[in-house]
Amino acid sequence: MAEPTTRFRLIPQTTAAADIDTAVERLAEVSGQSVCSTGAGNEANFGTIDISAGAANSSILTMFWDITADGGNTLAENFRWWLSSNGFDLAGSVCKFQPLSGADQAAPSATENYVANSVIGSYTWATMPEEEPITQNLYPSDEGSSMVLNVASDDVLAWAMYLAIAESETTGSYAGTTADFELQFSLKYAYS
Amino acid sequence: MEKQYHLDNIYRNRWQEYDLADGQKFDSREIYWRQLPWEQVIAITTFIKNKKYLTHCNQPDFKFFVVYRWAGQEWLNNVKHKIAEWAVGWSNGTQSFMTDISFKTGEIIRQYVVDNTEIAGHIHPRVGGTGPSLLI
Repeated sequence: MAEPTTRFRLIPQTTAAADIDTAVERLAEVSGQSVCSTGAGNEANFGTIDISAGAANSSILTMFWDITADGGNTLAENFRWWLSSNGFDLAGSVCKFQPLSGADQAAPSATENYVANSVIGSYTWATMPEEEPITQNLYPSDEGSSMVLNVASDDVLAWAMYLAIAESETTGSYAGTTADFELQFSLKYAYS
Repeated sequence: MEKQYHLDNIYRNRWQEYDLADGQKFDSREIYWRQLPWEQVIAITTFIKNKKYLTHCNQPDFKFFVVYRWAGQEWLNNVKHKIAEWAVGWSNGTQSFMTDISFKTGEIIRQYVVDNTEIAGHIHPRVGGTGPSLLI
């Protein structure tokens, strides 16, 4: 069996909840989506954060991840997501994240339902781990612990994230492997 | 003459052999492990890059074997690494005792214990897992 083929997508904050409240909609192209990668210009961009008046937050990014070709495998699970490197100088500068459902969960527990045009108060945030978590911390949007693979996955992983930057943090452009301004995320999952 | 397999190239130097209690032996290049009568598997031998690892059923609380693979991407020391590991181990029914082996080098990367609830989909349904049953 070959390794599955996967993709990351950045979903516009303006996306209506009704447009992504089924697995079929989440797996299809979402209007305005952009496929993200580590290639220059393809990264998810948190934008400019103005800390001239003190600590500040970036805009919120909503991300989808899914498997587009199963490689002959039938299941994926144990999804782990972490901020593996950052060049922040202050401990107060962190990445916050919240696993999401696609707004179709009656009583979400491991996730929260997606909110269009979300603001910080829209979700309950946790600080993103900065090393590989020992257990799953992202979930398929249906809140199952695993994804069934049949050509592609049966749903997506969804999450929201933003950067909370401390007052007096070193200013600059944080991205990729830029020396002293690194910003790198990692994803690991099991399949069979 | 070396036998030709239909599977992808990555398996040319990487495969597993499954020994059943009745003496049959199966090869991962020829059959998907979910298609085997998993409760009858008594040993798994993993071959990666000229290294060979035997996972046996001799532990007194042995119940069944567990196999899956890790994929993804991680950054270490500012360098992007592709995650490609084969996890193989055995379970006592509630926990699994796993060894992750590098697909690239065949070296053991880590050994750990995981609750079966976290890998339920990778446990064969014939031994209580939630993954698909493809027994032929």
